[in-house]
Amino acid sequence: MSKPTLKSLSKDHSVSIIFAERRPDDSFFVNISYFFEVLFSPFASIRIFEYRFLQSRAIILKELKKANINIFNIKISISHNKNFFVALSSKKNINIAVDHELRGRNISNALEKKIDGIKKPESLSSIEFINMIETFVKITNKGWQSLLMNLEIIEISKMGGIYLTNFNSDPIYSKFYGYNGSRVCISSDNLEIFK
Amino acid sequence: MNKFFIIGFIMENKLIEIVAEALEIDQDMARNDLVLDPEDNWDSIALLSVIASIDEEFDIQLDGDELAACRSLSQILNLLKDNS
Repeated sequence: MSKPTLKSLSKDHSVSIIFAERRPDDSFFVNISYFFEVLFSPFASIRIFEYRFLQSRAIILKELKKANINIFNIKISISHNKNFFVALSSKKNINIAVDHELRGRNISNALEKKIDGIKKPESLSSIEFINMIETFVKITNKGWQSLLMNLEIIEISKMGGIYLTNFNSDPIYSKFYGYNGSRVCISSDNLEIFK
Repeated sequence: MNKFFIIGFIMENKLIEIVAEALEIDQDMARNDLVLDPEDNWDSIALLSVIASIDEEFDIQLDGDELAACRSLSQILNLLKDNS
């Protein structure tokens, strides 16, 4: 089982990314320590009694502490799949979101057909397209259906794998990263973090 | 046999097939007390797959938030019946 890792995503260290494996149930004593760590943090919520919620938040707190990042000065975006979770920590003024999925994840034929009917860059697979729209949902707080109307995603050819999507003339930039068999999509209104 | 019972039976079996495909599990597993967990199997891709398949099979457009709130097959079936 791999250890959680925290890496700086941007040159100015304004955005960091945490990758971690979702472990099976920890021991009672580990859970108790998780509980108190999360209870006295900004993550405290009614969902503290859900094991996976508790575990991922405790791991994030531990990694931030190791990197000397104060949780009260940042915001966190999280994406889970069955085996891993990815968390982004960023300055509060950066609009940013993350979504990820296992590379070999299948989608239904019906969904594949629907996505085939949507205009998108050829370099973007169906799963990547879904990842990207999920980040837009998190950033804009809009639903899928309204996002798909008049959606135009452009690959910025000079910038090596960065995609541009305009929402009412506000640009959102997206980039994909590979990690441990997963594709991770990060979208933000701040292009600098991808450079 | 009642016509509505037969329609419900066919709908339920098709729904099991759709959910099993979306969650990449056996139909037997989908049939038996399946729990839809948003932090595990009931993620955005599974939801979108089910929405697209239900649209294709039944010509019913489900609301994503309503479907996401479902935690069992019977809840999805009730949602289908409410929208048909």
